[in-house]
Amino acid sequence: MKGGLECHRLTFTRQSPDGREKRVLNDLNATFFAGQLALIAGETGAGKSTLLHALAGLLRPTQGEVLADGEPVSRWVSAHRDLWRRKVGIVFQSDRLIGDLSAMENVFLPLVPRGYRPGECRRLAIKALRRLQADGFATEAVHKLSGGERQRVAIARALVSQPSYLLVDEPTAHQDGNSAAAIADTLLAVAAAGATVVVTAHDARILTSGITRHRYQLECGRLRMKG
Amino acid sequence: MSKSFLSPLFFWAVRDLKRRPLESCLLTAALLFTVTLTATPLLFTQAATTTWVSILAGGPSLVVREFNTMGWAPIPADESVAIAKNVTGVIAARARVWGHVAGPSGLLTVIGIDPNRPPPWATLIPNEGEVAVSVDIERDLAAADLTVIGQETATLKVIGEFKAHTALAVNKALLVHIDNAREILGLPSGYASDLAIDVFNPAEEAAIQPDLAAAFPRPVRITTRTESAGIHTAGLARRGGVAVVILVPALLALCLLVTVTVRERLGRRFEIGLLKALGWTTGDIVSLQALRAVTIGITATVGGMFVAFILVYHHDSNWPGIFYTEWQNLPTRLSFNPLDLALPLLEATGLVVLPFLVATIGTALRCAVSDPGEMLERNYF
Amino acid sequence: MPDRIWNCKRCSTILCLAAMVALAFFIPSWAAGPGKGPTPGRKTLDPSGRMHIKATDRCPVCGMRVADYVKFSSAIQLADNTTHYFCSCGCMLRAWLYPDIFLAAVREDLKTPVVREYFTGDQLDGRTVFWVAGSDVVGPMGPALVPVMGEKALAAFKRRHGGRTVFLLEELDPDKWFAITGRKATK
Repeated sequence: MKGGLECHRLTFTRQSPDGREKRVLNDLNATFFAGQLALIAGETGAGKSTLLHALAGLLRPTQGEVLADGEPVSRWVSAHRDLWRRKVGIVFQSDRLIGDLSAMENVFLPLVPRGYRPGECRRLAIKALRRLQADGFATEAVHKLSGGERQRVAIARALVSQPSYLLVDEPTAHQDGNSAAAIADTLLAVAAAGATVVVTAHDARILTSGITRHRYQLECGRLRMKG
Repeated sequence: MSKSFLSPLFFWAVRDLKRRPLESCLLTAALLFTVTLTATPLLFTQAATTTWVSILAGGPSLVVREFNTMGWAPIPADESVAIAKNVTGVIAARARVWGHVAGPSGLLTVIGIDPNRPPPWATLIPNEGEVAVSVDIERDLAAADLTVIGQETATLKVIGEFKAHTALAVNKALLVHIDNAREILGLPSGYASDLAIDVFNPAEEAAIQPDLAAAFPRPVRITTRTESAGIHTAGLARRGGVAVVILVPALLALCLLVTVTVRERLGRRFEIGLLKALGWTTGDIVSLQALRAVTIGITATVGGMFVAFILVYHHDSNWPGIFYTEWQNLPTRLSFNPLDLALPLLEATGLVVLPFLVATIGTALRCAVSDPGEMLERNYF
Repeated sequence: MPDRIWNCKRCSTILCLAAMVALAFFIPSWAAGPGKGPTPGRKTLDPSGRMHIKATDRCPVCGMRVADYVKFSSAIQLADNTTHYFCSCGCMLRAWLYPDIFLAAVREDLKTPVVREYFTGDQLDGRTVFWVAGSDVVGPMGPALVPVMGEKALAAFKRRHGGRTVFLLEELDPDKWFAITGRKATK
């Protein structure tokens, strides 16, 4: 199976407020294959978000490396990593939408620097929102939306550019049962299309849904295969 | 994917400005005001210089004045005209009677007009005992007479005022009959203040001087049109340079603008981090900020230059004359030459808009090269 | 030109615009076109022999707009009364020497050369004036060939501006021109 994303001895250290260093990721090794959905669980503060940010190239690891299709992207200079990040769709734990923009504008933000005409940006954004049943409030300012609606907008934003790597942090935290199932189906469809999908969650619904057999537990900064 | 002719970043830059309309408008207005403050003194100096040179182009090529140990001396009119006309290269010579006297509100310029040979520019020809005045002379408008104190005191009947648009070339001037002028100025009969001489070729202005000076039996001082233009334009430039002192508060305002801009840019680090996480490169972010700044800059420059243009060239705009020269209540109608806009535009762009662009783009560059994860996690707003 | 430049819509549009602007600058010099010959002035001399220069009149020798150099302008009227205007006396004299090259005319067609006297600006027949070369007077085409009328004016001119050579128009031939200017009149 072709390796999508790999972590080799990935270590990430943070400075805590009292000045001490805390190892969030500790010599972590993992491979996430293209065409598969990997589910990572862990307690709050285990470092799930940090792992996703490292996989997305948003953070430089303290030690070790992240490889994408065999390329050590974590070691690249920021200009090359910025370009590589166009292949990545990321959903943050706290949606990280721009509040005074509409849902549609937030969704087509990744398309703007790629040279799409404004009309085409809008069309693709509406298409992505429709996929998440979120096109009904496309023109609403995001700060007026509920938590669940904002989360669906954030997922649509990650999907609009048809990423090769989809990294999703807590996709169903604010969703009801039906919406959570729909989102899970969407993520599976993306993986089936050939993308590398990595999902972190501690929502019991998604952990027990059986959507994937590639499940991991993040503990003490390391990944352990589950099941 | 179909490519747009205009970069989509341009549309996004405009959208980004619309997100904070009040801030954008205030910033543009402040920059526009600064551009206006910077451009107006220089534009006025340029316009006044152009106008002055074009007015002088209609004046004599050379002016000859006699002097003696006491200073300037009257010149015998007919004799001097004959001497001048005899010099090769002189195509016209006329004796002029004019000088300065005291009036109701300071020095006045008295110009004598011979009704038999009026100059082409004189639209009002006074007879003996009459005077035509320029619009800036302070007088009792209800009174029909004007008293002038020179070597002789004269009370003259006012017959009219010059048209406003001639006011730039005449300052507190009176047109009187030539005999009245001689009396007021203390010139003997048959004498003039100086000689106005015309030559055909501009190169002769300098070359004819030795022959012209040698032709006169008494010492003379010859002033060319080029020299006069130089004296006046140097004076205007000096005043314009002093007016640049106005730039000091303008530049202080600009520093404030730049500081505010930098602070505002820094406060948007979170957004920059988010954009990088969504696939924007450093170049895209810097281009966006540059397009924002250029949009504001161009709007402010065009608007500021337009306001400066109106302030200087509008036909009722007399404040530049009052502010930059000693002229009072004088509507100045300045000649417009499109090239005069070039230097103020360059100055405004270089002194005002360029630092603003550099501050905006520099800060954006500094932010954009940081790691996006750090910017997102620090969550600046 | 690399393909990527032509394929870039924005770049190719800018290039096309730049080419059009460049062409616009050179079109006036193509106005006569090959084989059409120099264009005479829009208006000929009036009955008193005075020039009437229009804004569009161009010097047939150098192509400059004559109206920009009125004080140095001159003219040649041909036998059929068409008049060519020149930006300077130097250009007029070159055309007088080589009418076949510059005016598409034969020598027998030359009728009257009209010049502005240096000191007075009077428009005179160029055959009645003294010509001074090598002075410090600079015209539109560089060091000027200056027409002055009369011995008194000539003496005054030489005193003020110098001048290596004085000649009459009838004395001018290609050898004399070369001796004065150091160049051939056809170049």
